[in-house]
Amino acid sequence: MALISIDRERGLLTAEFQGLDKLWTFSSRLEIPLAHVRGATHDPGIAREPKGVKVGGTHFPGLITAGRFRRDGERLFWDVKNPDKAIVIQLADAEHYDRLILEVDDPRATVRLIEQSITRG
Amino acid sequence: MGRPRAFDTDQAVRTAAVLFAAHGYEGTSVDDLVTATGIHRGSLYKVFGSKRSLHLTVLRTHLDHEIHPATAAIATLTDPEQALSAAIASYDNGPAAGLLLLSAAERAPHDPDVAALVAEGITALEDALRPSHGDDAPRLASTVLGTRLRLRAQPTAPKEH
Repeated sequence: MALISIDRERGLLTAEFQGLDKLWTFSSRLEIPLAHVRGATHDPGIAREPKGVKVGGTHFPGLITAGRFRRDGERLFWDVKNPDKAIVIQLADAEHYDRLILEVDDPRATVRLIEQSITRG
Repeated sequence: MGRPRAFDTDQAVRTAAVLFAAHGYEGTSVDDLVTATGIHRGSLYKVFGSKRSLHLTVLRTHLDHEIHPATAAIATLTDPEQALSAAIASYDNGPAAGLLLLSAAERAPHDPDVAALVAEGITALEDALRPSHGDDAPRLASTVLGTRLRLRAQPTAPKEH
C-alpha cells in the first residue's frame, strides 16, 4: 500500500511506502514533480498483465508485485497486493519511470486528488 | 522510450467514444478500452496519460465532429418547426450518440473541464436555435435536451446508427 500526498507549494507528488512494503519495493518513498505527472487512473485490470522483467524488487505471482520492472522498453514501478485498489500514474518522458502502479487505500479519492492537482497546474 | 506508436489515434478515440456513450465514464474500464481498441495498455497510457484525459479528448472530438456540424446546419433553418425537429433528430447524435448528455449527468458535476465542454455544446445549441426562435432559443434548447433524454430512456427505441 502506498500513501500518496500532494505538496502544492513544492509542486511534488509523494508516494510513501510503509512497513513491509519498504522491504518489498526496496524503497521508502518516491518523489515526482507534479509537472511530470500526466494523469492517474483506477485500473484493477492491470494486475493481470505480464509484469515484464524484475529489475529490483519482489514478485510472488498472485500475492505481491513490488519494485522496479522493465517491460517493452518501459520502466515500471509496482507496489500492488490487492489489484482492486491499483491505480496507474503515468509520468512524463523526463522521469526515470514511465509508469507507477500503486495500491492505495481509496483509489477513487486518490485519482481525484492527483487529477485535480495537475489540472490546476 | 518504448515501442513506436503502432496504432491510429483517431480510430482509438472513435472507438472509445462509442464505449463511453454506451456505458458511461465509470462503466467503461481500462480493460474495456484495451479490448475494444486493440491497443496495448502501456500505449494507451503513453498516448493519453489517463482515462480522464482520454475521455476529455473523446468529448472534444464529439463536439468538433458531431455537435458543431449539427448545430451549424440547424442555424441555417429559419422555420421554427423545422429547426426544432432537426435539432431533436440530429443534436448529440452520431456513432457516440448521447455522449454529451451522459457526460453532463455523470462527469460535469465532478470535473470542471467536462463542465466547460458540456456548456460549450449547450451554448452551440442555443445559438443554433436563435435564427428560428429568437429569445425563446434557451427554452427550446432545454426541450431538445429533454426530448433526447426521453428518447434515450426508451430501451426498445431503434438506434439511428
